[in-house]
Amino acid sequence: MLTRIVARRWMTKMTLFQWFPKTFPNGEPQWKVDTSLLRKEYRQLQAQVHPDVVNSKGNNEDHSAQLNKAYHILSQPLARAQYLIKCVKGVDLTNDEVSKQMTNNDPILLSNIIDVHESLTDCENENEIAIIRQENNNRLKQLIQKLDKDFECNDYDKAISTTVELKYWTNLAKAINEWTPGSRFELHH
Amino acid sequence: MNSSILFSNILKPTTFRYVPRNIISSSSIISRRLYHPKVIDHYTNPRNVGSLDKKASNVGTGIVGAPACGDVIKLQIQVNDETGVIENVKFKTFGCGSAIASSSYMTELVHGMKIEDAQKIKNTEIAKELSLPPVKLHCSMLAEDAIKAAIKDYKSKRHTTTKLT
Repeated sequence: MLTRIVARRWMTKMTLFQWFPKTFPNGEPQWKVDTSLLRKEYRQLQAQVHPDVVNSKGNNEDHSAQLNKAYHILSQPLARAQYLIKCVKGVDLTNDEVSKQMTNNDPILLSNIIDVHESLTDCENENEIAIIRQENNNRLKQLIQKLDKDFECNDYDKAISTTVELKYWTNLAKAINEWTPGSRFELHH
Repeated sequence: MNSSILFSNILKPTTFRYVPRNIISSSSIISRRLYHPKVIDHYTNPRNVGSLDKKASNVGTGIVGAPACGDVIKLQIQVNDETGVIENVKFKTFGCGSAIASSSYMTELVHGMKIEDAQKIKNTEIAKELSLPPVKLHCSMLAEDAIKAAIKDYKSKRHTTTKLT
């Protein structure tokens, strides 16, 4: 029991990268991730702590949930970029005040978002949606490639603005997935 | 809050893969339950949705975004050049229920107002009217930014047209 408490305290001081030593052998915060390796290691770790597997009254449920959260932050590009920027630069892009100070409202980007969202609302069938989805998937792909470059060059100013842009278009992807004819979309956060 | 709803969601049989989706859906149920009736009213029946001609000299357009949550508001005002009164106002919002309600309420508030007065509207006024919880204050802030940006755009247009003539 005591070792578990110590272990947990130690874990909270660790970065999420250090939770997965097989995937990140040097434990350093990094952008490049072998997602299939990460998934494998996550499953192995989860098998050790999952409350369904380990029959204990302790805090395994908590541990399992934290592990799940860590995995999803590191496996998804947007969340990983936000976490990496927070680790390295101490800038929390999920905090509204912070991200407002760090980023300029680019009017061209914002009006583009409004326009695309409007065309989504006007969609009448799956074929029209497919076009918007395809366009947005390309957009997301390009932004992730841009992040590859930004992080490779250690250009965190650029990485911050690319990550913010990725956040906007990821929201659009969510809206596309939840689209039904004539519906209005609402974000949940 | 009804905890049984929360639990029924969490206890649904799932595989690892579906856990995060589940968390998202249960939290959205909770957040929906916490919305104040005024927010729900403005959300289900938003006022003044639409667009004005952004090229018109008496129309000011403000487009603002909240980079943390990804909400975007476009708010447009049509101003009487003689009196400075906002005669028409339209908005479009891509975001959460509180952001939609905040911008809808903002359009109701500024309609018929002089731009000098509209400029002074504080987000706290909107937050209070809609009883927004602290985590949603930034939505009312975004609506305040939007009206300020629209007024600024209108004024800059007016400045250039008076200079030219």
